[in-house]
Parts: sequence; structure tokens; C-alpha cells
Amino acid sequence: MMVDFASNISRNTDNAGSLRVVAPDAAAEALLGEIARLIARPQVARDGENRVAIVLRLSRLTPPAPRPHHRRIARALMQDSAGWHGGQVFSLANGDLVLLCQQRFAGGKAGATPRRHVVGPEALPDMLRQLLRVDTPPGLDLVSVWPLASHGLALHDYARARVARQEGRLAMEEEFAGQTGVVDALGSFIGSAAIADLLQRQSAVQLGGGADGKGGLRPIYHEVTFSISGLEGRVASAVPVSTDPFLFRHLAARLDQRMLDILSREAGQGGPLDVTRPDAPALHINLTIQGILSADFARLAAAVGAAPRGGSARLGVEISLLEAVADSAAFDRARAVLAEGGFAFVLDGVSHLTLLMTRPGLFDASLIKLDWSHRLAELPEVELAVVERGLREIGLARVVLHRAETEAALRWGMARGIKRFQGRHVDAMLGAARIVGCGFAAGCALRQCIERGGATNPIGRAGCQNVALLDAATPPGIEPSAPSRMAGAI
Amino acid sequence: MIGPVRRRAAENGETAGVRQDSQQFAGLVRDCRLADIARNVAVVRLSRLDPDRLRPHHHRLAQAALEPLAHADRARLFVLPTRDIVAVWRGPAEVARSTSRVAIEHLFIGDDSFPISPERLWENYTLPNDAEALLAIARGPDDKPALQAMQVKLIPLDPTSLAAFETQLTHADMARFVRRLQVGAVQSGGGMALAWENRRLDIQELGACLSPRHDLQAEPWLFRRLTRTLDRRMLALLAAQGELSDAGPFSFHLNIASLLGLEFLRFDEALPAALRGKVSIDVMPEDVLSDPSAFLFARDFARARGYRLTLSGLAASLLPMLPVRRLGLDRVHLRWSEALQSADLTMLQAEPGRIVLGGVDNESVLAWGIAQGINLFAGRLVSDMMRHRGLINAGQAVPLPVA
Repeated sequence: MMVDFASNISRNTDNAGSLRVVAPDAAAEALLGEIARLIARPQVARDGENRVAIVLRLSRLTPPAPRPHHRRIARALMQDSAGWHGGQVFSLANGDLVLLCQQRFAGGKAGATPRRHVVGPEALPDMLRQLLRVDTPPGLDLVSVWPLASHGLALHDYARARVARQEGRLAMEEEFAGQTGVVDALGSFIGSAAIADLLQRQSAVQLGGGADGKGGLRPIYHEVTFSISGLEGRVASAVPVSTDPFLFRHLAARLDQRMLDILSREAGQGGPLDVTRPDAPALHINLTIQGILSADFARLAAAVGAAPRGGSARLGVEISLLEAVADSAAFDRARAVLAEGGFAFVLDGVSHLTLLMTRPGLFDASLIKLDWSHRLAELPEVELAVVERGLREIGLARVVLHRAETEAALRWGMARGIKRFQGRHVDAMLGAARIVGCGFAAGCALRQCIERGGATNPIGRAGCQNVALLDAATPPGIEPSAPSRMAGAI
Repeated sequence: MIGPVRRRAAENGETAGVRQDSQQFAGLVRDCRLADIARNVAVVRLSRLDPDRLRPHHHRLAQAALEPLAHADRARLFVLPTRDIVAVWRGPAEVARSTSRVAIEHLFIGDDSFPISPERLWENYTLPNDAEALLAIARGPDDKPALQAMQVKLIPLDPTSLAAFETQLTHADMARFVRRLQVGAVQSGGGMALAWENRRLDIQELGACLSPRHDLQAEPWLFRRLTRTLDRRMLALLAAQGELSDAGPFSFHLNIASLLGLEFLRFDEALPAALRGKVSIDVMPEDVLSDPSAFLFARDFARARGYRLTLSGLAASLLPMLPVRRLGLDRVHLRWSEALQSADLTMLQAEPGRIVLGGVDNESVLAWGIAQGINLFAGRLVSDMMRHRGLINAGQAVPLPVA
């Protein structure tokens, strides 16, 4: 059994001491020896020098955590405590950290803690819980305290199962290494190579969009993007370019030029990338502010106007929240350009965390894409109330639940009145609907139909005898309750 | 090289820092004329040299040649858009003037690339008598194409040049690029007192000195990436032994990633106990929203360590979308602009104590801010008020120039 003594702990930041970041962790093997030595001491259970272990289970954080900063800061805080209280910090193989220290500090006896020290063991569990709460799965306490007198053997077993060599220094450089080189290579590749085959699309649907206004799925747009993983594969990049959001935004501006060029050439051609097709849902593309204000975008607008069905562009432009706040003057100009051309503005990149901190509904977008995260289904009541208030402020008719990869996402959204969804689970639902309603689908697997629906070029659609259905604005209806029936099919 | 006197002066951001803003030079000339203040002026007319043959190192060397004058009383240097360099100082400094002039002549006279006589390269003036002539020099030619032709064309950074520049930064002395700007607080009993100093890197000068061919800010996302590297250098500078031993409350900019980096932990370790709780960190909105999870972690960590957080670089039009309280930040720094007057000021009026109004360069802006209930101000006017009274560290309030 583990003991939690977090209650009645207070911090005094006015007297904050300095974090000690130089001293390295001790190796986990040393932890085993230390535990054994302490357990063996007969006075451990009797005198006031009882030792406790504060265990921080970073390995239990929700991926992609624990990230380097989680480990770096947590370790610094624990190292600080160790330095002031004669303790030691140990790193385990799975990233968990263990601080061994004297219980008289951990127990919060009056006067036992040096006054200038704030991040003492008595405050540490609360502080770590607070810092890590965003990435902590609900109902899980990452910080626990193990009195060695009563739980020494259990701690020994726990540590033995996770023995590791000491971690190397977590230098910031490791997060930067190679990224500018990758962006440079990708930028050159984007500017010179044929990359149209890397375009992919994904549909967003409105539930209850059937002809009778009740059941069924109605595609409301196809979002067209370049496959970033495909691009990285072409230049054999070992580092995901999206690791650095700023470098990625720079690269996005390069991608804009190619996207706009391709769409300009396809306008009026009747293909899947024709933004003037009246028989297909609108196309959505992601653009930077720079891209919208560029001559390439003006050329697209002109091409749309010159197309046989010109003047009726069915194009939505998705702008990330990040771009919108970075340069508001340019953002305002870009929004005016979109309005002038009759193009819809969609706000992208809104997560539940940004919904907790900001008011995206005030950006005056046609649609706002809220990224699904399983954390949405696990939010504490207070935070959930803020999210739901934010959704109401936006207006449910403007919300698209994006990255809806699972049935749980759809159910969460539907329970809150959201009707618009985009994600892999929606792809599967549309694929299933097409197969059911297609007269040429006898030899088609669901996965094949999903992949063909996501392709924008003839090669990706090869094998489909009914490509018109892939682009159709009104495929055969499917009941919203269908997801569970398809769960095993994909 | 910029000597120690110049460096200290540059840190103060006033007495001898090179100014690339001709408006500031023109303002000084007008002030001298209005108040009948005597100053000596030397103008190095690089604009008269063939721009196609002039290279960035010529600019650097010419500025370095004026180093003796930078030691003169009340010395200030300006680099004009025409490439002319102007030195302004008070009182006699004949030896320094002569030394600088000889150094300039050695740079260009006799070089076949620059067929020019000495008297056309170096001009002496006095204020307030020559105010009109100096204002004409500050304005430059009326012909815009001619002015553009005189200006050095900078190229934007690309990932390769960014990487090279980041490497270069690891060996550069960053201290000479640090500027300190005063933030003043209006006192309840009237007057304004120093609240804290903002320490920042002078990006223009940094670029001009270390990468003169590049416009560091032309590619905004690459520049944001560059700021992370600059953060690390700034943190290393602040963590250096003795750097903060006699420092008062201050603020500086950091990216969220930098706040969670090893360099910040080292800075935190080096922060004197007396400054704990008196340091404010400025963060940018796009940085906050680029990684909300990391921001929340960093925000709580910074708070726990006693730092205040200020949202900086926020346009007034975005105030309703990014409520400071909802972000859990302590303050927001708004830069004055005409648009601010027509912005939705509901947020301002609700939380005036959380606002720092920047860009306060004249009395009308200060008066507007005070009328809005704001009591924290930064800008040229504020810095001038603090410095001219010599009260930067005295903790005394200076009288407000507005009612």
C-alpha cells in the first residue's frame, strides 16, 4: 500500500530557493543498494531518521508525455529537494523518478525545513501533481510516498523491475538537432519536385444530413492536404518536421505555393481537385496568412473566376489559431481577401486546452475545428463545464469535431449536440455507406474504398469502378448508430 | 570593436547606442533647436560612396572608427537609412573628433573603389545653428527610388542561413546588444516611479553586426525559431556570475520552450534571493498557443518559482479572444497604436492593473493611458523621464508631464 501525505501541504513561493540542476541522478542500481542498506538498519523503524521514497511515475503520463521538459523540470525539483535534505534522486528505466529522503522533512514537522527552501519534500507531491495534471490520466496519482520502514521491500521490488543506467543529460540541443537541415531539405524538395501525388483528402460530414433531415451522413467538405509523412519519406528525414511548430509553419508557407498552383490548374477541369464543381462538396485547404496574401492565391481566385462555372468557388480556407494570433493585422487583411473572393474562413487547430484558455468563437469563422482528444471524455467536471460553455459560445452549428478517429469521439460529440465530424472513423463510415450503396462494390474491401476515397489522383483511385461516388455530395445514407457495427471492419 | 564605455552606454539604450532611426535623430535636432541646446555633430557621408561597391564590413568599420567619439559627453550615434552615420555629442572633443576622422579617411580615401575627397566624406556641424541642414540630412533625398538605391538590400533568412547564424551566436558577445527599457508606475499620490526594467536584445543591431546581409525578421516563423536561440544566450548572460548582483526588478522575453529548458534552470539557480518574486517573463501569444500543454506546465512552474508572466505582443483587437485572466497570466503588454483607441476596451477597463502600455513616446499617449485607468507605462517618454531625472534606482517618483 502506498501512502499519500499530500494533504495539508502548503508552499511558500516568497522564500523560493534555487533549483539545483547540476548534480546528476544516481543510477537505479544504486537505488537498490540504498534501499537494502536502509531496510537493514535496525534503527530505521524507530528513530526520527526514518526515510521515505517519493516516487514520481512519469511513465504513466498520457503520451506523448513524458516529454523532455517533464523529465527535466521534475528531476530538477526533486534534485533540489535532495540537495537540501540529504536525499538522493534515482532514475528508473521507464522514466520514473525516485527521491529518497528523511521523513522528518517529508512529514512537515514545524521548523524542520530550512526556511529559504520551498520545493521541499513536504511541498513536492502537491507541486508535481499540479504541474503534471494536464498530462495525467484521470483517477491516477502519479506521486506517491513510500515509507521505507513499512514499504521498503515493496519499493525494492518496484525498483528492481525498472533498473536502468543513469540517464544522459537532457540537453535542449537534442530537441533542436537536425531540424533546420530537415526543413531546408524539405523546402528545396517542395520547390522543385513533383509532389501532387502526395495530396490526400479527408471528408467531413454532417450527421442527420439525410434528405429527411434525420438520419444519414452528408459530406460537407473534402479537406485536401499534403501528406507530411510522405514528404518526410521522400527526403528520408529522420526527424519529424512538426516537432518544431515554428519551423513547420515556415515550411507550410512553401507548401502553400504548390497547393495553390495545383488548384489553379485544376479549376474547371472537373476532377477531384476542381473547386468549381457543383456536384461535389466544397474543398478545404490549409493556408498560411502569407499564402492567402500571396500572388499565388490571387491567381487561384482569378482561375476560379475564369472557369466555366466560375464565380461559384466552393472553397474553404483553414487558418490555424496560431497564425491568427501571430500577426493580427495580416490576419485581418487575409480574412478580407477571403471574404472578397467568396471563400469560407475556417479556424483550425483548436484543442480542448485552447478552448479552456481562449475564446475562438470570437474569430468570426464559418466553422471552427475542435481537435478530438480522449482527454475530452475524461475532463474534470469544472473543465468540462468550461469546454461546453465554449462550445455554446461558438454555436454548435459552427463546430466540427476534428480528428474523430474513434466511435468514442462521435459519441462524445453527439452527446453535446455536435453534428459535424471529420476523422478516420468518419472515413470508415463513409466507406461503408459507399459500399452498401454502390452497384460495383462486389469485389471491394472496406479498406480499399476508404483509401480510394482519400486519394486525389487516378493512381490512388485505381480499381474503383464508380469514382463519381467517391466525390459525391450525397452518398447513400447511413444511420449514426452504425459505427459500432463497423468497428471490426477497419 | 565596441569598447566598455560604449557597451555600458548601449545597455542603457540611450547615450551612445547606434540608432538606425532617422526620426530619432531628427527629434534630437528639433529638441536642440527648440530648447537652444548646444551640441557638436559629425556626419560621415557614406551615402556619397558607390552603393554597389560598399560592403557590410565598410559599415561596421566606419561605425568602429567613431568609437572615440562615443566616449564623449552625451554622445549618441545614429545610422540613417541613407547609410550616413551621425555622431552627436556635447562639449569639446577635438582629439576624439580628429582620431575618428583620420580613421574614416584611412578606410576610404586612396581606395580606387571610392574616388572621393576627404571633405566630401566628413562634415562638421553645430546645433542649434545647423538644425535645418541636419534635418535635411535626416530626411534624406526626396526621391524615393534614390533613397532605396542608397539603402543596403537585405535578404531574408532561410533555414540554412538560420542554422549558420545560430552557430555564430554561440560565440558572440551578446552583452553589447542588451538594452534596458524602463517601465514606470503611476503613483497613487501622483508622479511616476520605476517599476522595473525590461531587458531585451536589440535585434536590429544584432543583425547589423553579426549578419549584415540578412533581415532577421523578414521570415516571421524562422525569426520566432531564432528567438529560442537568443533566449538561451540571454539566459546564459543573466546567469553569469555577478550579472544580477546589483540588479533591480526586471523583465525579459522567453519562449515557452526556453522556460522549460536547462538554461532557465541555470538562470533560476543563479537568481539572487533578493530578486526572487521580482522578475517578470514576457511570452508571446503565438508561442502560448503553439503548445498549450507545455504552456500550462511552464506557467505553473514559473509561478511556483516566483516569476510573473506577461502576455506581450498582443494586438488590442485580440484582447477579447485571449483573456489574460483565462490564460492565467499576470499582465498583458499592449503597444500603443491608433487602433488601440478604437479597440474594444472592455477588457482594459475591467482589469487596468494588469495592463502595461508600451510605445508611450509622447504625453498624449500617457494621458490617454492614465484616463483608461492604466498605471504601468513603457516607452521613450517614460525612459526619458526616468533617465533625465537620474532616478532609475532611487525609488523616487518623478512628476508626470500630464495632468
